[in-house]
Amino acid sequence: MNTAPRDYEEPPHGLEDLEIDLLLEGIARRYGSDLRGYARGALRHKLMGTLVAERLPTISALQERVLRDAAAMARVLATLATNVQGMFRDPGFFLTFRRRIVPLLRTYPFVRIWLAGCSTGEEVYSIAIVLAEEHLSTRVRLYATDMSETVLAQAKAGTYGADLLQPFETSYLEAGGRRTLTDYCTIGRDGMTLSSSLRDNVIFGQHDLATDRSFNEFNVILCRNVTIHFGLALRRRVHDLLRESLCRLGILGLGAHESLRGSGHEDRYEVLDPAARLFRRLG
Amino acid sequence: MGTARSAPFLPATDTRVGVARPGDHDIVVVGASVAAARTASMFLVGLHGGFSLPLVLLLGGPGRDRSDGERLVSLQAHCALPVRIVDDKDPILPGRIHVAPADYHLFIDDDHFALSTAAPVNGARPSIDVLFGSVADAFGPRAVCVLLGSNEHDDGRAGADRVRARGGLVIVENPATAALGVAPRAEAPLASATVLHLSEIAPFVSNLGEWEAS
Repeated sequence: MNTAPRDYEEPPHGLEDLEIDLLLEGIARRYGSDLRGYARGALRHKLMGTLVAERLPTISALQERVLRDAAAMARVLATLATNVQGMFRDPGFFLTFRRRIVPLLRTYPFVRIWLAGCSTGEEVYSIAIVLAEEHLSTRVRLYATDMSETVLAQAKAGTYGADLLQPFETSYLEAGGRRTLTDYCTIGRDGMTLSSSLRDNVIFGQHDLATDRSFNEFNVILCRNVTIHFGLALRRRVHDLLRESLCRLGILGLGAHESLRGSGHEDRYEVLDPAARLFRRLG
Repeated sequence: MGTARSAPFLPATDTRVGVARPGDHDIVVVGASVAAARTASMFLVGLHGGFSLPLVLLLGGPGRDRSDGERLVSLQAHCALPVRIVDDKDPILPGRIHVAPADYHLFIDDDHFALSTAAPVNGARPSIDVLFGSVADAFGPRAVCVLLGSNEHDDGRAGADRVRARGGLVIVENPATAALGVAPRAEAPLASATVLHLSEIAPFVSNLGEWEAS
């Protein structure tokens, strides 16, 4: 994803930043998707990739296309919502989930888990497999949400490149998997497709953490490698939403290099497992 | 100009190093590409213990062979300054070695770091190009970028060009000392970089960060 030759003579907060500001303002007013609070460096990087993909010379040209063409907007949103990460990313997290969180879940008659910002669904299926192997599927409902309908459709389809099976399998075993990943998928022309039975207790829904409200109360919320894409203020807002959506003693899981520092909620959780970045709501 | 006798009479170090003075820069970012972890350790050993700028270190190459924790321990053993693996939104602190975590891109937003799971760039995540580009945007002429070690995938060249274009200082390891003998190719755009032997880079970088005399 190398960007086309560009004029980098501008000052750091020059024309390109102005163009990005205007693009985000336009998107918010035209479509209601608010990307203004996103972390700027990574957002700029993804937008530059979009310019190459759309064969456009400038952010201003992208603005024109996006404002007039809803399909182009959907592509931009999908790019921003795409988390490139495999199944059982950070196997240690899933091992800890199995050993420490699953026993807690067994104490509840019914469990709701929210996978906030589920992107293309790799983590949804990873958790679904752990729950199936722990015979908890029927007692757990998974709510998998993302702001982009395009990536949600990919998540629902559950089809990934066949070349990913081997690395996914390795991570699955490191994560304490009891069988083999091929038991949970079929290999076809399009790649590997996760079995539909894993989706039986999954509800996929469109939800934008930046603009939408809490919609239920959950025993567990996994929001891993999602708020990394937000700036400080939006991240704080999202942590307000996450805490509000957790039941008492509910569990929050963050990505391997995320903390609660600067979230405004540092004192409102206890650390359940520092390496797995698992926290439990206090009060 | 440009006679054939130039090469043998060139000094070991680029004479333009004199243009960089303590106080001119606010951050040093070191990208060590494939198989350069050992080189990075040698660089850290040579860094002055009183170095007072933030220093960011990105080790390229396969990330799965070592956990972040193992990397941290092995790097800290070579360095008097505190070494930390970066967490998302960590502040950029002076006198500290901030190490890019495996399998994320590393960006700089104002005064803090930001991680991203955007797709690998030319097969690399973290990517030196991405980090250097972000540093160029955030720090402009106050940035120093150092490219260490062999670089068979050329990760870092585009980023280094951007740092130069924004007026920052770029230092590359002299090919003669780089592992595997395929150092950052110092031709074309990188010709405007300062080329130093590995043993010279740490003292040079140390000199950019003011320290209290010990």
